[in-house]
Amino acid sequence: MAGKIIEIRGVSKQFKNAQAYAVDHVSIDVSRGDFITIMGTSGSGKTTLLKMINRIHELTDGNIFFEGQNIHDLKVEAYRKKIGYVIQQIGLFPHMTVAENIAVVPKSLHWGKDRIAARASELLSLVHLEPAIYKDRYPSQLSGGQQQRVGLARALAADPEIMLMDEPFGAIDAITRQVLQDELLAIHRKTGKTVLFVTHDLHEAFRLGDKVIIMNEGRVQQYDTPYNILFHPANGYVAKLVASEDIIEKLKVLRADSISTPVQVTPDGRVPRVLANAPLSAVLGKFMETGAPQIYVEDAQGRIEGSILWNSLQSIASLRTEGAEYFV
Amino acid sequence: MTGFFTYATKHWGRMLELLLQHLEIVGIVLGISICFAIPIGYLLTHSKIASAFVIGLFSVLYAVPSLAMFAILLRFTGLGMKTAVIAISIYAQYILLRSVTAGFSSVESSVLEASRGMGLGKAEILFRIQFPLAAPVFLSGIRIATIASVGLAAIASTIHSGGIGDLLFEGINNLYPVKIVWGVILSSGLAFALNFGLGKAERYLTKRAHP
Ligand SMILES: Nc1ncnc2c1ncn2[C@@H]1O[C@H](COP(=O)(O)OP(=O)(O)OP(=O)(O)O)[C@@H](O)[C@H]1O
Ligand SMILES: [Mg+2]
Repeated sequence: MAGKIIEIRGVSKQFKNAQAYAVDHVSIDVSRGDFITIMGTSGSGKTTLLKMINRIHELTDGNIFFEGQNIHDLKVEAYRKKIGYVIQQIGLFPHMTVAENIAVVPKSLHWGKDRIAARASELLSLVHLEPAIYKDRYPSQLSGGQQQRVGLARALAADPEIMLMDEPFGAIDAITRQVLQDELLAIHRKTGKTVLFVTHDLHEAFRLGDKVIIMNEGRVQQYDTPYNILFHPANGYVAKLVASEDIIEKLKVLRADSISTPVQVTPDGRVPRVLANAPLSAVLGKFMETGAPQIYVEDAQGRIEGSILWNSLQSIASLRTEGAEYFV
Repeated sequence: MTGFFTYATKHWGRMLELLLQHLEIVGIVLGISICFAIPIGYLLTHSKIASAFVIGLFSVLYAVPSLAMFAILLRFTGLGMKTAVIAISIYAQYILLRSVTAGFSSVESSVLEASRGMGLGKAEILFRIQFPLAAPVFLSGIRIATIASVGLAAIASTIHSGGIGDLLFEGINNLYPVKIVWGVILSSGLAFALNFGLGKAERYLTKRAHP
């Protein structure tokens, strides 16, 4: 079911005693099932925008619609239960076991005991934590990465329509971070949930997002696909932001499925394959290694999603980033 | 030495009565002050200014010497246990308010933000999150207030509130050391016992909150 799930219309936020707007006339539509990353430097208003969506912050100006309804008219607690919220500090309840943490919202919705227990096990498996081992542990008995996984499971507990994630992997080492990113992408593919994901890491934003929102000083600079942001930056700010990335860097942060096109014919078994979320640099490597004119893009289950032709990769590599005129 | 034990065998009935009276005062004081301190402390978490004002006010009252406090209240509520309970409750209130506000602010803000963000209501957050996490801090305040009340209740004997203080002051006034010694043993024994029991409870709740 496509269609807009969130419509943000002319939304601004000015905190008390603050002169500048933390969020300044932002208008954005989010379609159901989108994975959107929000990227910007510290203080650019990412968290504020997210917190206005789940009504932790009141809007100074503008409107936000959830499934066509103005969120201002919704009962706040019931509305928030439809939104999974993951924060950087995780905020697990230290006095509750992992299973109890996951059960908080289902309990509040008066689910039955068995249903809650089954859901907790299901979600722990989804985030790759063996339920038998972890469900009765307390948060203090988990590593940071494991706590973050539990935070994700807890946010998914009542099957929310949309997930708001505020720098959830900020405090995690690079390797674990990549593992968690891959898991999150897999979960997104599996559940089809809409995700709004805040990060200040450009690579993370491109790796995860189908679309990326670039924010600066409370304003949206560009809301577009990673490909367009890299090759067609909308203004000087974005151009500068991506300018440091040379072509190899760009190929590293773009996913294979960002340039793949659907295959028309019956798949040919001899054509080499790459995973959908493999970086284009890996695709380039595959081309050079095999000499094939075409490569298939497949999902984790081995289903073919599309193909990339050598020509199309080559044309990217020869693309010069527009917006060079912004630099004198 | 023989006088010491013969006193007890002769007067154990009265000693027990005084001990129970003492416990009664301390019990009523704590009951009342806890009933006030938790809701007031909870409300104070919503306003830094109100919190500073109320706690500042009680800290001033706390600094008034107990005999002076009794003397002031005498004019309004007369001699007896009632005045003692009111006066001691004021002292206990200060200790409890401080521990209740400290308890609430000991709950990490990320935990509160997460619970708000996931759509829990105020009451749910209070009973499922804040109370269990703040309980050990509350209880340490209750423990200190209890010990302070045991001591203050002994002094309150001067305004005819009964309790172990009777034994102490009779001993002092009649130069009867055995009474003084028993008074000391009973009152400090009571304080030790309560401290021990509440300390155990506190450790238990700490374990529950931060396993
Ligand atoms: N509760 C608040 N009261 C007043 N000002 C605030 C509040 N929260 C945020 N701000 C201000 O609003 C601006 C945007 O903050 P915000 O937290 O949204 O930034 P951010 O993009 O999430 O940054 P970071 O990457 O550091 O988390 C900042 O200037 C910040 O100081
Ligand atoms: Mg932030």
